[in-house]
Amino acid sequence: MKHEVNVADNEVVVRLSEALTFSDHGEFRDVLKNVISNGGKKCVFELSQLASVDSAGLGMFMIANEELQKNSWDFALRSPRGQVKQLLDLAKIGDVVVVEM
Amino acid sequence: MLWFKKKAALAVDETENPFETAGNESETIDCVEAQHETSGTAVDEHDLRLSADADTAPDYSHTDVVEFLDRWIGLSEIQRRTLSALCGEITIASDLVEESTEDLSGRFTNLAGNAQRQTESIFEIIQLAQQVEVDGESIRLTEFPQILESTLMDVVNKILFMSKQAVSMVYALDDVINHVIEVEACIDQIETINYQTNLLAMNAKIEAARAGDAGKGFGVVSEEVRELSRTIDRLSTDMREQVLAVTQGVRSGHAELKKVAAIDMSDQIVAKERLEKMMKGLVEQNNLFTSTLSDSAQVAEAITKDVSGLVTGTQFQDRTKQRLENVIGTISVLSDATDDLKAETRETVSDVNQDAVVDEEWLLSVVNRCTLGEMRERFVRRMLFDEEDAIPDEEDTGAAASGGDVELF
Repeated sequence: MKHEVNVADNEVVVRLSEALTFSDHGEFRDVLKNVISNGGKKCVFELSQLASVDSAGLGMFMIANEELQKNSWDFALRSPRGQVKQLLDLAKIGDVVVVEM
Repeated sequence: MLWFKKKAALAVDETENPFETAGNESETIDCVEAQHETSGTAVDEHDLRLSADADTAPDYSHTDVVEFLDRWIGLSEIQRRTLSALCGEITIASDLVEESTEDLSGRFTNLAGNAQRQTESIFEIIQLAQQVEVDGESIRLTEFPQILESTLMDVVNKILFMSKQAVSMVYALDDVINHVIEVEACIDQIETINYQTNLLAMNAKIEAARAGDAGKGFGVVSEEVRELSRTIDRLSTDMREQVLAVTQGVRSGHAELKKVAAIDMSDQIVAKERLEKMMKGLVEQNNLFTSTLSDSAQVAEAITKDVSGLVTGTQFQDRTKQRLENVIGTISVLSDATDDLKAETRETVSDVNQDAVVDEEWLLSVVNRCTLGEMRERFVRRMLFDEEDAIPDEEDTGAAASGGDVELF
């Protein structure tokens, strides 16, 4: 996984690219900790460049949602494509997490 | 008839030609007019001329007349026999129509019954095709896609939950490892301190030895400290081994959790799409199947209706039979009238033959014109021998029909 963090208008945008798999759990956790420690209102994971995700990646999204809500943050997944979108639809992640197209 | 009587009365004897017998013209004309009045026919001028010209009339003898009457009686007999034979044929035909109609009616009724049963079976199939029995529960086919999706979603949700929990556990294990690392650091510090303590204890022992008796007590203390240091050293080694075991355990758990959490769900996506297509296809096919069966049921119902109409339609046979009976009755009346005239002729002209003379040659020429083999045989018997025939059975009809000109359909 590669990531890039941008902050604008109280919204933290984390752009993910390549693939999000189990082996990225450590890096993902660190990103999440940094986002929460910086402060803000909304965190968006930009997925347009993310090629694929496995079940661990979906689990990480769910954990991120719980952690951010616990700290009174809004959380959204933005612009999923291809396999990522299919998987989000299959798992009906949209019932739990806001998915912006 | 009156003309003959009058002329016969005027004749001297039988040999006299009534036409040559003298008689006045008006008397003759009166006779002719009386004749026509009796028969109810109009007076023909030709008759009056002949009668008026009695003296110049054709040369007919009594014998010629009797012979002519014999021939008429013979013809009358042929006509009677022919009419009788025709009545027989009409009766046979009527009975055949009646039998065949009854048979057809019965078969059509069976056909209607079978078509009705077929319709019922089709509707039953339609009902059965709409649903499936599973563990005593009746489930409609149209609900299958929903049930399947629900089941698949359940599986996916469980996978998702398991993955999430696995990642959470991994995070927890990561924290454990961090703490273990800190513990290892502490153990390092303990070992370092212990090493220094041991050195100090050695130095103390050396100084105690230098001090002689005064340092004996100090030497004992230093020895004890060294012993303590060795004990601490053993303990720290044990702790390091335990920590190592914990670390290895945690890392092992890490690896196992990775297997649980890191599931590539691309196959599930493809499987779900394929299942959705299959279910959609199954439902569409079932709808098509139901539609086709419904059409078939409608056709079967139409057949039942048409066949019932056919059965009603065969009632024409009753009307036909009545008409044929009327025809037979009429022909019988004609036949009886012919017989009556024949009897009257014999009574009036005693010279005619009391037995009807049948022209066999002419008769056979009529019979030979009949094309149905079994009808020809009955005609011959009736015409030549005036024998009544029984109505032929199916075998006779079939055997004769194969040799005759019957069109079968």
